[in-house]
Amino acid sequence: MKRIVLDLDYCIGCRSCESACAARFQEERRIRYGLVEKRMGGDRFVMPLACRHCEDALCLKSCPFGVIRRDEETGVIFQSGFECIGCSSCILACPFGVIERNLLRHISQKCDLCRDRKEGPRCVDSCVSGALKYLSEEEVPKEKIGVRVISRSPYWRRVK
Amino acid sequence: MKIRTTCPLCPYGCGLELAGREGFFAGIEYIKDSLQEGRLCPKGNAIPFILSHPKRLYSPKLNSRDISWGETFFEVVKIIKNYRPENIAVGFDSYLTLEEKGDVIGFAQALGVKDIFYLNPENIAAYRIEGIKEPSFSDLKNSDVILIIGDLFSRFPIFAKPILDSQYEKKGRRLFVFDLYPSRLFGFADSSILLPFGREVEVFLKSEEILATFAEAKRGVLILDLTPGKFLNPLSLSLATQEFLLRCKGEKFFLPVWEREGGFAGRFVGDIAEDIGSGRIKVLLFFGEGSSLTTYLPSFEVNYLIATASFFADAKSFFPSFLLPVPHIVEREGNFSSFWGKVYKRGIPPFSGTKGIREIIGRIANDLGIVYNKGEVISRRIICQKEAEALMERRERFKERGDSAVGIHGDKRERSIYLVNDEEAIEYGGFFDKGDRIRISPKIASELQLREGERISIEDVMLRVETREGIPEDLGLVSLANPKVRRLFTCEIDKGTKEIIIRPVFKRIEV
Repeated sequence: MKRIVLDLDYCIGCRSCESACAARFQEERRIRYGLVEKRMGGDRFVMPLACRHCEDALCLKSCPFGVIRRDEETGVIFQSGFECIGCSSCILACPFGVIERNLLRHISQKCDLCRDRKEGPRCVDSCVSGALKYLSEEEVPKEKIGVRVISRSPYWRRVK
Repeated sequence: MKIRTTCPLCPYGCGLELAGREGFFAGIEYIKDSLQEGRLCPKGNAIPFILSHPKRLYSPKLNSRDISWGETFFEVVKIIKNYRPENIAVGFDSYLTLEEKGDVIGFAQALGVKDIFYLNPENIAAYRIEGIKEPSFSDLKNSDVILIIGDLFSRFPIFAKPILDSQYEKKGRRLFVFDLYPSRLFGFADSSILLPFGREVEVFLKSEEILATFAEAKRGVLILDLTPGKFLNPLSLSLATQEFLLRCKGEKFFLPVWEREGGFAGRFVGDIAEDIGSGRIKVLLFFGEGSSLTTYLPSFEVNYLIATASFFADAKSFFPSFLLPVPHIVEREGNFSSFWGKVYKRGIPPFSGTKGIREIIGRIANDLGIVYNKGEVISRRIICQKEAEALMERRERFKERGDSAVGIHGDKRERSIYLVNDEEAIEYGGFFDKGDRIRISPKIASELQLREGERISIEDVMLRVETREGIPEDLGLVSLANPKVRRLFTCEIDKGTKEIIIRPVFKRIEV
């Protein structure tokens, strides 16, 4: 079971992942360049937001027509764009806010980890700094993710 | 159909694979064995969008009306025949392959045209001081310290991986950043310094602590972003940093980076703009791809503007007489200049209705009955060799005199004239000589109590004053031996010290 893992120490906010996703899905990007606002300090942080493919997926449970399904082999939660009626239940249910509405087709659009591609998700391959990684559960502890937090500089990912 | 090619949008030369059918490319595949290990920045990822852009040109246009290719060639040849070579100017930009650039220059020379201009940031990158080394890719990864000037991660995100890898692998002070505003690159840096606009060189050279750390490191790379409009004096900054590198210990490398799109407004275009303004040049042939078309050419008032473009959006405000559709740079085959030499790019089938630049030139030359040097590949170093040599010669003269050649003038900098050179306008504080003159309007002369022929001192160089009618009152003119490269400057008067403060303006005024 492989998932997209974000190493914030490497993310430079170039939005290449978003661009790669948009190039494949034609106006229906499924990874988002999120702006996480921290009210107290006044700092704003930016990071890519992608579907976590939860074990207990709320979007899957909320879908009234069973359009969102789970791939039993890989655990990927995917959705059929043809069957979706655009009720937005999954958008409301998602606790991470990563499911977006397609305003042209009036359906919701959801990351499926590029199931059509053997090599893995396009966003991971296009990531210029290597911040996005496609790792299995066993590989995650081996990588130094979250170990090198740079907080020395006052300008750390601060958007002014 | 899948075609393996090189991304031509910046000189890094990333490998990529375009997937689709002929004339329509919808997908990108990432090649793991390429230089950048398959990674692509947002610009590269957007190539399918560019190729299928709704504003792509598919047929030649005469005054925004569609015409046939045959008619176009007939009209263009007729226009060129009607004018003498002195009245024709030929220009091109960095969207051409090296072969196409060679063809354009060969064609212009065969035609007898002397006014050839080149919109390209590569010009700035070509000014290299002898002894300055360019890093290889492994040098970038293995350097002990990296000094970056400009917002590298926003404009060239592809550099992020080697820089951040080397930053995290070794401990210690490594990454230093200079920029005009706090960019996100500051967040990754060990030390960062803001450069005030207009005084970049001065503040850069005054940040001694960082420079000393860099100078003492065993192996270091200095990366300078030469993006148009970013710094007031990119050339002076480039020369100052190179001079600084010469003084450093250990192995030091200099890597100038530039974006292919756009040139330097008012710097290299200014020369030709003055000739057009004076009415000498009446026909302008421009070979490029579109972005320079909307940025610079609208200000040129010529009888006939014959330009090439791959797509054109801003038709309401400005439209050239003849607009010839050409394939986009991604679709063309050939050699491109990169940071590390030439890159060969394989083309993809071009958008229907377009003709290659070499084909267009060949057809026009054939109809005119002239023979030109085809495919003579010119490098960016050769283009600027003469200018660079003259510049270096001048620099040596200033060194002999004990003047700083890198423009450290401290607070006096405000009073220095930006450019003076006999050959080339370079906008560089401190580059002026005793033979140069300063021309000002009679009103300013009377305010300063100056008379014709009197000498004034600016930075210890006595310059002869010439008063002249017709110069706007807020402008002073620094005279050069070559009238082609003269520029106008705003002229402010410090009433206390009675000194003139002159700053460059990019404005054409008929004198």
